[in-house]
Amino acid sequence: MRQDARALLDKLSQQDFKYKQFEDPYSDMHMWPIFEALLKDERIASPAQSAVEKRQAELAAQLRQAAELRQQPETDKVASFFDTYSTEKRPPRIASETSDASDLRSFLAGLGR
Amino acid sequence: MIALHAPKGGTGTTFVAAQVAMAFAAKGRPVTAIDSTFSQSLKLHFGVLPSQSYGDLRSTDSEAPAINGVRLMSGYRHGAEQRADFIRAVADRYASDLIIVDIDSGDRNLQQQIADLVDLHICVVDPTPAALASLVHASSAMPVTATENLAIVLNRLDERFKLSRHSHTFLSDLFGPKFMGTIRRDEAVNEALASFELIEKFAPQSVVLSDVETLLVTLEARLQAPPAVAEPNGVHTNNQMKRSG
Repeated sequence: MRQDARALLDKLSQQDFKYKQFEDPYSDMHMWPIFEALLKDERIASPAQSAVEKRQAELAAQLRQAAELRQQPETDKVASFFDTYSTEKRPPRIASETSDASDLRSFLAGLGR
Repeated sequence: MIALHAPKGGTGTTFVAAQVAMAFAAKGRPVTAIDSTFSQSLKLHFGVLPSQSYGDLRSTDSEAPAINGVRLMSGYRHGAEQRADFIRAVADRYASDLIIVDIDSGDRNLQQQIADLVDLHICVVDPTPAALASLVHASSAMPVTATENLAIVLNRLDERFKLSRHSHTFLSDLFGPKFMGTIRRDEAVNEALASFELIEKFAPQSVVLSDVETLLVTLEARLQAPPAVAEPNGVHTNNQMKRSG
């Protein structure tokens, strides 16, 4: 019996009670069909993009940013330039750190493990 | 303003609304809770009798009563537009209050009509297939996992049951930072309601109270911080899952 359970029994002046330690929720994870159905439902999550689609989206975003910068006055342009090197405003490196997460198959595989 | 609404009824939205309202009030925040549901059951969670209407509770100066630190009001009107107008009027009048709105599961119109006022929309689900399946309707924005001001709370988690434990893992992984927390199942909630008592008085050791406390910390942080950046497809990863994988 775990120490905290024993301490609780002592506190309650009891010798025993019906006690069970349940599995670690992460180690006994099972991919129920309803989970799979939800993951595949586009109303819940957009379908994973292919590598080409991701690159296209990144390029489009870069082009938009460049177009916006061209329309800004000179002083704003300088500020934007330095913002690029500001640690506070640096965007999170989600794309590189969790690139596998955006892939539905690896997500499903991860849950099934 | 925090609006609580679930696409599937019976998941404990009203209970969570009441607990969140009382927990914020206990921290010293001025809180107004609006019951916009037809059943008008929010008051039961404050120990009020079913026979007592919100009007009956009103004091002579026509101020809404504060029970356990929460200003309690009925916001039920015949039409969704009237319900939304009432909520707007309350938000104007008590501009410095945290407004908690309990919305009927079927009342999607009201949810949409007050969307511009709401800072956080809490969708309460329980670990049942019907509630999980209803998540596709948790938001009018698509995909649901990418909805900016959406928060998910899992209510009635029962660790004795596999599907319950797995639902917790699944939801926290799917929604990432939008998954705000879990409240474990405790029959003391029903017993307290049946006794017209507050759970903190009826069952001060209930796990529900510590879970609400934890939930409140997450909610406070979420209300103060800008929403997290979501993945393009709305799918998040859970670090613990990654480690175990």
